[in-house]
Amino acid sequence: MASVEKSLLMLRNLPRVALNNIKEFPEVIKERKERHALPRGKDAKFKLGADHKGAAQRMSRPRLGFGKSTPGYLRVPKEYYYSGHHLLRQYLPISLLQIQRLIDLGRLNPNEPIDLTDICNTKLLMFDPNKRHYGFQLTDEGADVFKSKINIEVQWILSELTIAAIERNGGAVTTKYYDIASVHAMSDPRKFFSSGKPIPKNGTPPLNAIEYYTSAANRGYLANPDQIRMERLKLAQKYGYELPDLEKDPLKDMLSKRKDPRQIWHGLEPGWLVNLKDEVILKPADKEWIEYYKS
Amino acid sequence: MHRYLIKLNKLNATMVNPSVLVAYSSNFSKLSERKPLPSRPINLEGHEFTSVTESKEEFKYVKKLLPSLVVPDPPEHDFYPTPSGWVPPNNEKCSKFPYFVLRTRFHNFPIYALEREGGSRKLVKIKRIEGDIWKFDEDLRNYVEKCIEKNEDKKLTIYSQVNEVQRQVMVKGHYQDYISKFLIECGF
Amino acid sequence: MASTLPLITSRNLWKLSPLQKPVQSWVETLAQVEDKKVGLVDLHPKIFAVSPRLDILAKNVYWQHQYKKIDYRWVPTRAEMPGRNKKPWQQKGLGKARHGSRLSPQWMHGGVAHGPRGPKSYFFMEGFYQRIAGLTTALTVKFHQNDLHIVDSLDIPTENFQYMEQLINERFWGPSVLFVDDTDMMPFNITAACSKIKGLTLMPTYGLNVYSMLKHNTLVLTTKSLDKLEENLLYYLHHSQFRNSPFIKKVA
Repeated sequence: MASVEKSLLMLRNLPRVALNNIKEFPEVIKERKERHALPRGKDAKFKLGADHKGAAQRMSRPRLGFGKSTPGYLRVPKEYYYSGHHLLRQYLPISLLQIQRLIDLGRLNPNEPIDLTDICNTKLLMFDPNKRHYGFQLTDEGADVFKSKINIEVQWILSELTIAAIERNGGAVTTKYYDIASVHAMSDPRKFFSSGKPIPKNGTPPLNAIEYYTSAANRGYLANPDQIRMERLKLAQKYGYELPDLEKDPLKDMLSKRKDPRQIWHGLEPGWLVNLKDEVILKPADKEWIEYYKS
Repeated sequence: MHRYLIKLNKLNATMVNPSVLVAYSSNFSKLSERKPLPSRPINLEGHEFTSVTESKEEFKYVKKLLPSLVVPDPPEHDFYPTPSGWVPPNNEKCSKFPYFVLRTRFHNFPIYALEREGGSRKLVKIKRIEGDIWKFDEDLRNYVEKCIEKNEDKKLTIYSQVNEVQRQVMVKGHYQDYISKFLIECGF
Repeated sequence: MASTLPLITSRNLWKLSPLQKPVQSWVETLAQVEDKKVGLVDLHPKIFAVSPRLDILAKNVYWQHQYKKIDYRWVPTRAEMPGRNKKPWQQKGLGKARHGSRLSPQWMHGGVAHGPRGPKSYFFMEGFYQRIAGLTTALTVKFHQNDLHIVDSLDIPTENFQYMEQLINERFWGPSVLFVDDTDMMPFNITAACSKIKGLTLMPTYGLNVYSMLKHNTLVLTTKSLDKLEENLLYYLHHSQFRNSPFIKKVA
């Protein structure tokens, strides 16, 4: 007999469930009472754990770090290796296995280019641009089971095994940099369009990232396409697979879709204003605005 | 809302005017449409706005970006398990057992590996178990013990805890791979 | 307004797992006093055949009571008492106990040391899924204890309260009945009739809550409100919006 069915059958014969005969678990009630109860025992004298008499009970102890000869802010040394830690870019890891699982369950569409917005929309990872999450990085967990042909665009790739795994199946990878304003827009498009701002123009990568995004080995979006072709051949030889010919692929158009360096979304250009309610896009007609957004 | 309705109800039936009812109804229906008042009056006169061209064709690209709020049903595949190892529930196999395990809303197994006490205590929680949970617990333990014998050449007893009220089983040790194999074999 | 023809006998249940069978309920009318069944409908098991966790109901009732509560008690400390804080008598020489102020807590009419301090709010939000579980549990409990009745609409022939009285007595519905429909504006007759009888409440679907369901003996849902209710609850049980923890383990 199913446990739920059993309990529901019991309900039929028991008195009517009302406000006067329901109770929470005794542990929950006890915990709540203890949380809201007045302090008892040694805490009942409201000394907040301090000793008897003296500066502690009279709340006149010096603040944290003080009380010794040299105050804390002078004693604790500064370590310059962590300078700028509060400004560092973070990339949330997403593995090839997770992407494969999302495609298998229909939450990611392999027939369209996959980018930051698509991965955020699956709500698989808690992506928060306010925590300096600048995008996603692909990890190589699941490289041996990966079997989808996709056009994926991430922000960082550490191991070339991931690139090899995607290209072996006839897919395409690029790494693209988005500045924080663009990332805010891409992580929640509905919220962004409702805010009434025009689509932002993507910024150029900072100095410490230019080398990464201009190298063909990382499939950077600023790299030379000829060099990328060379790198694809190199990887195929290194990992021992035959590089599928993308020219003969029926999905060639989709796989070769790449965004302009200043573009955020496919089909939408920077400077356009989206009206969600009337389902209309407003484009600037003034020369200055067009020039600015196309620069 | 409820309080206003009660006040209306307590009026004498003959005294209620249809016009009052209409007024009430217009107020209530417009509550959802009410916009927040602006903090200060916006004067649009004298402002110069840039000229703009409208377009409806490119809106299809916008629609692709907006997410569907409901989890989609998984598509049909030719071979199972799928490349990532996902197997759909098999209803024929399920019906043979006096218990079943419901999938999560993302169509995955409700198996959760936990680490307590700083990582030294490893547990696996199986949720959403319907039917005879005690039988499920027994069968699960036997299956996992056999798996361990086969794969690791060890004879271990598996310890588990059944929580009948919350319909969960907690197993000691990180055996989530064997447990998921058990669920796949049962067809849940 | 009496519907004599049998009503919907089949309903599309969304996101129904083949392992879970739907529960069934009669559809009745309020068009006549006698209890005549007008149809038979399926109800979704994820809402109407849920494990009857009475502690979840208790939690929700506690939340509903507490979150609106504001404790306005405020009692002054010795610093806030009206009057001057003068030393009552000299420190030494009088043979009396030493005191610094007549307003300290050990004195009568003095300030209170650790009393209630000002408006205190007990607002908190119960977890989203706890609240949904509360609604589904309350609906299952009502259904399985024969206190849930599904009705085609809340139209009654007269505005006389005696009609409602007779109807409720005939059908053995409890002294308190909660009628739920999908609109804000209920039909005139039922509002007029229910206004005269204590214990009968009319409510729109969005007002449905655990406390009201347990306080009233009987719950009467219209088919329209049932559809809306199922749609909303199933959406929240299957949406991809709120995730509590990120995906970290590779399990099938």
